Amino acid sequence: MKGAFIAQEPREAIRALLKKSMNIGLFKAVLADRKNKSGLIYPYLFTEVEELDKLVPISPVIPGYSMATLLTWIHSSNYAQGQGKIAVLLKPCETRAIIELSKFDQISLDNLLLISVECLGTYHVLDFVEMLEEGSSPEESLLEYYYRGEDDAFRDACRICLYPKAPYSDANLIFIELMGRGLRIEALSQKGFNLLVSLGYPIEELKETIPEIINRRSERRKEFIEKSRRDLAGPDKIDEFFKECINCHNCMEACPICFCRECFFDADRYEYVTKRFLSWSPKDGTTPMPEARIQFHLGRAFHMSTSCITCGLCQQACPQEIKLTEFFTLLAEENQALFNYIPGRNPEEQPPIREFYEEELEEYVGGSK
Amino acid sequence: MEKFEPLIIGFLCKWCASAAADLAGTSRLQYPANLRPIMVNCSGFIDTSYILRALLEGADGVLIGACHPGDCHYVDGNLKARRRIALVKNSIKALSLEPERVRFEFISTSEGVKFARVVREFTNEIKVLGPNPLKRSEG
Repeated sequence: MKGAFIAQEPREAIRALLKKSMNIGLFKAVLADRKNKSGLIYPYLFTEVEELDKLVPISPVIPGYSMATLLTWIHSSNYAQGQGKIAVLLKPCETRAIIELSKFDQISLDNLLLISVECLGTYHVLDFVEMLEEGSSPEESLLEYYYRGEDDAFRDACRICLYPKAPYSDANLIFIELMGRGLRIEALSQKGFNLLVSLGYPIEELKETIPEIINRRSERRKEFIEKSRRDLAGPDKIDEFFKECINCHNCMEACPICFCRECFFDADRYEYVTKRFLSWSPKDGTTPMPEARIQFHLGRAFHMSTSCITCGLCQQACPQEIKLTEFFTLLAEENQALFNYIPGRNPEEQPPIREFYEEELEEYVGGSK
Repeated sequence: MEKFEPLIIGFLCKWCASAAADLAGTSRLQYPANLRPIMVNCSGFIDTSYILRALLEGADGVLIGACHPGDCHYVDGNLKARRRIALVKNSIKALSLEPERVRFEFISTSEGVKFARVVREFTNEIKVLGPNPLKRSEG
């Protein structure tokens, strides 16, 4: 793997990299985080070089939508042509979501430069706001956690995440093991390599490093999945799990993989005619009104779990604090294992629900399984 | 106790399994009346949520009848269907529900005998399993 090392404080190095590339016209805009007036860190589209000083290179929070969702708004395949290149500063989970969306033709990678910043986790948005109110700096404390290799303060999904580095991007920015003394730019694609060449950075051959936190986390992830399996074992447990759901569909809104313009479960399939309401024959004189809650959660999981990157934004968006990360990690793990598929690993791979072979899955035919 | 008669929803491809059902009928083959057949244009049209909805809203079992590999009128709908069924069965197994309540079968137009046998077998299996615990309300 080719790459470059820059001996500079990582956040300064990232800003310098983006400024220089924008100055020499490598891209027209940068999609990255910035503080808004209230101090909340939120994605902005930077179109002027001077504004890049305000950019937050290592963001401690994903406030609402994943960058992947934002890109489907501004860079969907229909409108991307001829509009110039955009660089996007991403978390690894967001990078993986973008790769998945590109497979479903929701984002065109052609005019994008995916820059993925190493990440050990982000704060829950409510914890982040609390820190702001207390007057402490979440940005600084985040880096302290990273350098110590601790992740207790982060979201559930982050604490079991096996991808502190994106498996595919144009350039991965590595800084944690360098403890603030530098930034390593790993070029994972030709585009990333071209970026380094255009910037005139000294290119060297890099050795692949695996963050040591992964060992600890894969144990934790296994335990987490076993707990999920117990919490969701059978109809009664499933009812119990979702008992506080108010059917707001926020989880679907926040999900970067759920890209349908109109959700199947928001469509008029669940509008029954009067006759049907009255013909449901209850035994005790009342009929529960259809709510399709369990249907919504299970059905959504059937639709997207093969591409689920377990970013946990569904859980963060849930006003009832339902542990959706448990539910989706379990189904994602099982269904991705079935097809030996890892979302975001390679943009050339087809997702399982778009691919099929004549000879496969024989055990699911007939009464055998 | 009342004898349990399962309700089975069958999504049958118009080009194969539905025709096989007709053949079973015209051949005077006997099979249980628990099946409620729904003709679909292609098994590839069956979304995973249709199966889920049937199971949650009163069915005890769901049968999907598709063309044999290579025989699909629309080239590969049956292979897409098989992937989706595998996904559904795998998911409901992960949630400790009963994947046996979903059955996917390749049944060609000429296999009236196989159709009758599959419905018989499946009905008996569901009778052994008992009523579907996911049922919301009857009707």
